[in-house]
Amino acid sequence: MKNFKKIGIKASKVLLIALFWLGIWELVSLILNIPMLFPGPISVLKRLFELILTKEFIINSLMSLLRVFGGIFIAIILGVILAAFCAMSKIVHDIIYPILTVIKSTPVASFVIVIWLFLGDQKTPIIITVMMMLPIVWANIYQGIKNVDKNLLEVCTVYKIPFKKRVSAFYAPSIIPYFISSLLSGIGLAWKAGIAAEVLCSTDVSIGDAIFDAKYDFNGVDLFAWTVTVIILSLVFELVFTKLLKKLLKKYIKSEGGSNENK
Amino acid sequence: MKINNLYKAFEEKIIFNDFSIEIPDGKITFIIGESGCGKTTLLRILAGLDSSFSGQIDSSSSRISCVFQEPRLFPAISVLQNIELVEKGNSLPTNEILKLVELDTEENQYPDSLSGGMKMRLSLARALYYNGDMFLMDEPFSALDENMKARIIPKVLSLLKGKTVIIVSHDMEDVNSYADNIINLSKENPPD
Repeated sequence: MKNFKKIGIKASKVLLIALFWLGIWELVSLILNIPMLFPGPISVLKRLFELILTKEFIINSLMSLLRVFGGIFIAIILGVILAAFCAMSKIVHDIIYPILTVIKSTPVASFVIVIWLFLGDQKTPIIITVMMMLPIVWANIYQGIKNVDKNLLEVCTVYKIPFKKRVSAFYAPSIIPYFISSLLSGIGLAWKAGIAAEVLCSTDVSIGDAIFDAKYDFNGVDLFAWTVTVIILSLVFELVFTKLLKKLLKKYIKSEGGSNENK
Repeated sequence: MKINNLYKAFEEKIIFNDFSIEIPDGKITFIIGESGCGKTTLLRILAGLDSSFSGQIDSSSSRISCVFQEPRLFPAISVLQNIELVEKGNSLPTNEILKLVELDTEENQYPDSLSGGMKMRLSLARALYYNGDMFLMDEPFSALDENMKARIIPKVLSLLKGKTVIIVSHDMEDVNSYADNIINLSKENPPD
């Protein structure tokens, strides 16, 4: 009962904050009075509900999700492999580090244009997602490997513990918190970059293309409705992905039980 | 086991300078001495964890059980898994080892939930399970209370009969009760 009350209070608080910002949005839209470029929340939400029921909405959203998910998956695989090699060899680290730093600091738009010229509109959003996510995954995993407990590493050496057992009992539990943190900070960024790439190269069958068309037609209501879609999908995607990962990696994310010396 | 002309330094500080000593095989040797005289360093060298030294070490043991000064347990796996992580030597079964160190009711617990003494006993259990030819132990009983010590040490040492056991200790009562051989490193390896 107490829990229900708590949830009720929290939900009302969130609702009130949401209503406050929707009110501000409506007010700005009324002041500007150019619904074609800056529509109010009511018309946008109405259009969003219309869109949700269309086949185009579902296919575009699914395809965009698939591209971004594919990019993230490739980035994770590459990031883990590169981080492992970099941790094993300083030369490999010194070779890889500058390129990943350049990727991290270069504007997405520059990459989109170059990659689009070579690989076309379908592959570009995937590659851009990889490029956004890879430096984050790499840096976190590398940090995780470097920060493993050296004392435990000595135990592995003395007792000649085989590599497979070392990975499951030692490396994986040490690195997984870094891995999850890289996903938490990277997924949102990767999603936004992937959609931006779709917009810039007007990828067929994508949310980005729908946003591009809305912009091209000066259709503010559609533009805002698709943008709201991007935000909602980003939140859902992030939530589902991290929950799923935490569930899959549950055995490695053991809660920190406090040590009790007087037990 | 023979250590000949050992030289080891940490930057400017010389720990061993032309140090030679013989440690009898198959006996329990206690190493005592003041802090900083090189007890732990010597164990690390013998365990093969420190190779930045010069000199010669003649030892017939290739399989070494080590009990470190800290328990050094793997926090993500249970008590039982911590023991079975190492290869089983010609030793007692896991349940008997757990009973011997009085951790048989804790086998599914995780190291974080154990007390300091329990963690040290688990570290000891792991060393017994691996059952090396040589046991190197750095203050293995310091975290145990007197009653526990009286129950566990004789049982553990009786299992290690015939093995080369080297124990670093500050507890003269333990040394006098259980040592076949005592090396006072402060005397054998006086500071320069």
